[in-house]
Amino acid sequence: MVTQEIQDGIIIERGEKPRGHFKALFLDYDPAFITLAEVDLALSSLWAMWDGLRKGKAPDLPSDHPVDPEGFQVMLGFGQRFYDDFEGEVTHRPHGISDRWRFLSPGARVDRSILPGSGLRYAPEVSHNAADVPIFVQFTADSELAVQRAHRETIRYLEGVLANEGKLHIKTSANGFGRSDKRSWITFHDGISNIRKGELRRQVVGIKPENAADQVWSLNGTYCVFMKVSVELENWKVLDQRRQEMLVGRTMFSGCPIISVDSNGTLITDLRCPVPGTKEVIERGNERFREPPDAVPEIIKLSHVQRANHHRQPFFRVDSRRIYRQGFEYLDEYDARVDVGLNFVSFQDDPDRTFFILTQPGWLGNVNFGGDPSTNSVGEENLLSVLMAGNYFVPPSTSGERFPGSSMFEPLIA
Amino acid sequence: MFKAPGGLNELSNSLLQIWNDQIQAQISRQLADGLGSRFFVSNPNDIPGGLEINGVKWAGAPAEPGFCLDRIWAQRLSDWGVRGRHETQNEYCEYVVRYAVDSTGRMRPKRIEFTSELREYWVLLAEHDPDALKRAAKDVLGSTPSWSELYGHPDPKSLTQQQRRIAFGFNTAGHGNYQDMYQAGVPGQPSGAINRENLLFMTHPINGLDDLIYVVMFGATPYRVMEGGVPRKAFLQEIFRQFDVEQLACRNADPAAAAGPYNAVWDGRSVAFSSNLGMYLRPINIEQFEYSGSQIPDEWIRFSRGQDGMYQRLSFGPSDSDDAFLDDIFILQGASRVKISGGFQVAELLEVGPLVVVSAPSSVEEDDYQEIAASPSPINCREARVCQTMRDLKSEYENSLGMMSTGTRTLSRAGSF
Repeated sequence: MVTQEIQDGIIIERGEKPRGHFKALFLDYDPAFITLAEVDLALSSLWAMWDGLRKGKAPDLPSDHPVDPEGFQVMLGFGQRFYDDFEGEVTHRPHGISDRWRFLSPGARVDRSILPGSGLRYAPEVSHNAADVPIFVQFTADSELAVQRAHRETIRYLEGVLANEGKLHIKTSANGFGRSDKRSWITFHDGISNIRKGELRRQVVGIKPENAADQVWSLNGTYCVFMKVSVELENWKVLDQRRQEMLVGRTMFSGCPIISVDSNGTLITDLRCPVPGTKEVIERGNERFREPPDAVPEIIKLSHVQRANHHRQPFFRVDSRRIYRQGFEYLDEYDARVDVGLNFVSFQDDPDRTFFILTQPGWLGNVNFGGDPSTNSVGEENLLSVLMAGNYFVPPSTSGERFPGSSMFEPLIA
Repeated sequence: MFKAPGGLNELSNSLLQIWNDQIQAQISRQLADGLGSRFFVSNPNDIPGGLEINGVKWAGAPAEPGFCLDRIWAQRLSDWGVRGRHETQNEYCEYVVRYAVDSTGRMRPKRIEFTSELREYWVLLAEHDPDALKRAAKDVLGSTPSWSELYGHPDPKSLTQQQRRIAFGFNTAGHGNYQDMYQAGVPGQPSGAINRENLLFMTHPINGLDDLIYVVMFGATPYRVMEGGVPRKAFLQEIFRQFDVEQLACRNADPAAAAGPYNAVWDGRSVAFSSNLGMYLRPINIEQFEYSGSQIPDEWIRFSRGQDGMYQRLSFGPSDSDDAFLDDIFILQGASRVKISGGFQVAELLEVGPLVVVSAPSSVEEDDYQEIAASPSPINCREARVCQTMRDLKSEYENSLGMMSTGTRTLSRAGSF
C-alpha cells in the first residue's frame, strides 16, 4: 500500500524536537541548458546523499566510520519556476502553485511591495528576488556542523560528483538558528501562539482531501512560504517601551497580551498573567495567555499579534487563516555591516492562508508590522524589509519514490 | 435595546419595538431548545461596560462549491446569475452583477452589488410600514419602485399585515424558512424581478437572522473534552460533531460565528449581540485592483446602507455615468493580474460578520463546562450531503452551456488561479 506522509523537517507530532540550526538552499538552473531528466538524476543522487547524512553516513568516510547525524533533517520543495519551465513534461502541477501565490519581483510595483496590498517591501538594495527558484531545500539539525556539512556536500555533488556540469547550482542560501528564549531580535516573544504540536498542527499543515480535490498525489504534501525578513533595529530602538508594546500587542518582559488602554493611555494587561510563581508567558501554567484574546478594543486590534491571528476555527479550514510557523533568526555580516532578522518559514495546506494574512485589511494588509499605517511614523512603517521570498510545494514523502515528488518526473524518466 | 441594522434611521418607534420583539422571540426560542449558557445574555444593555468587537467575521465567497468541487467551479457556479446566487451564496453575502451596453453595443458587466442586509428587516418593513419599505427600496435602487414591483400587488395597504407578509414573500423575499411562509406556498426564492435583478437584500433561506442567532448561541457554551483524564477546550469540529451538525463546520459563516463567542465564554466573558444587530461588510484592499495601469478610483468602492463599520451594501465598480466597465478592472493577487469577470473574485477578498458585545473576563465554574466526546480529526467536507447538490448544479451548468465534462480541468481556465 502506498503511504504519503508529511516530509521530515516539519515538526508535527508531540515528542518531536525542533532543531536549533537551519539552512535553506535555493537551487537554480538555466532551463535552456538542462533537461527534466537531468534534474531528476541530480535530485535522486542528492537525496540519496542527504538521506545518508540523515543516517550518519558522511560521503567522505567509509560506512564503518559513521558520524553523529545530530538530528539532521532534509526537506525538498518545488517553486513555480520548476512547473513553468517544464510545463507539459511534469505530470503534476499542484493547485497552490500559480501566479496568484507568487511573490512579486522587487521592481514590479513602485512601492516595491512583495505583494499587491502588502505593507512589506523589498529592501532598497534588493534588485531581484533570489528565492524565486525552482528548487528549495531546507536542512535542519541540532548542530551547525550538520547543516553546514550538508551544504558543503551539496556543493561538492553539484560541482564534482555529479556529471552536472554546473547546470543545477546553488543560487543562494540562508542560515538561521532557533532561540530557546522564544524571543526575537526586537526582544519581544515571538511565535508563542503558534499551533501546538499534534492533530491540530497536522490539520493546518497537511493537504487534505478537501484541498487536494482531484490531486490525490498531493495528500499530506504542504506549501512552504519563505521570507527572509530584515529587521531595522535602529528604527525599533527609537520607540519607547510603551509604543513597542502597543505595536506588538504584548508586554516586553512577560509576554502577556495587552488587552486594553485606559483613559490615561496606560496599557492594560490581563492581571492573571503571568500566573503566580512565574515571570514569563512561556512558562508552564501560562498556556491560556499565549493566544491573545479576541475581546480587545479597536486600537489593540491594530497590534501585530492581533492582526496576524484572528483565532478562527476550525483549523482544518483555510478560512481560519491559521498557519504553522517554523522560522529561524539570522545574523549576516557584509562589509562590516550587520543585518539581523528572521527567516520566516510557514507551512500550510494552502498558501492562500498566508497570502490573505499579508494583504487584507484588519490583518497585515498595508501595514509593515503593526499599528495604524496612516498614523505610524516613517520608522514604524520601515521596520521590516524583505530580502527574498518564495512559495514552494513540498510533496509528501511517498513510499516507493526516489525522492519526494519524483513521481512528477514519470513516466518520462525511464 | 436593539437598533435598526447599520444604525439606519428607517424604523419608527413602534417598528423598532416590533424588531426587538422579533429578535427576543428568536432568542427565547433558542433558549427554550437548550442553546446558550449563563454566559449568553439576551440584552446587550445587561453587560455593563461591555466591549463591542468586530472580530467575528469570515470570507463572503461561497464555500460549498469550493470544498465540494474546486475553486474554478466555485467561481463558475457562484457567478452563474440568479441560479448561482440562489444555490450557492449562503455565507451572508449575496451579490449581483449589473450589466450595461458599451459604446460598441456589447452587453458587458458594469459593476457588482453586494448585500448583507437581513431578510427579516425588510419583511418587517413590508408587513408593518409599506411606505418605509418604499423609502428603503429607493435608498437602495435610486428610484422609487411601484407597489406591484415590491408586493406583486397594486395596493398592499388594502391587505392585512399577514397578507402583505405573504405577498412580499412570494414576490421579493422568499420564505426564509419560516413556517407560515412555507404553508402559504411561498418558495425559497422570490419570483419577482426586483430582488432577483436588483439585489435589495439577502434571500437565501440560511442567510437569516434566525440562523445567525442560532449559531452564535450555539458557540456560547464552554465545551470541553477529557483526554487521558485531562480536560481541554473542545475544538470546534468536536462541537459540531457532538450535535450532529458537522456540515456547518465546512462553511465559512457558521464556524466563525460560533468561534467568536466560544473563545469569549472560555474566558468567562458574557456575550450578547451588539445593539447594532446586523451583518456587516468589512473593508477591502483597494491596492489589489487596477484600472488603466493605476489603482482604481476610490469612488469605485462605495459602501452604503449603514454607518461606518456597519455597512451592509457595497457597490464595486464604475457608476452608470462612468465609461469604464467591470471587466476593465484587474484584480491583483500575488503576481497574477486577472480581469474581473464576476462577483466571486471580489467576494473572496470581502469579509462579513456581525458585531457582538462581551463583558470583562471572569471565572468559569466547574458546573459551567459542558463535556463532549473527543473527536479531533478533521471533517472531510467533500463528503457533506450538500456536495451532491453542488455536483448536480455543476451538471446543470454544463448542460446549459452544452459542455461536456471529462474532468474538472478540461474546461476553459477563465478567471482561474
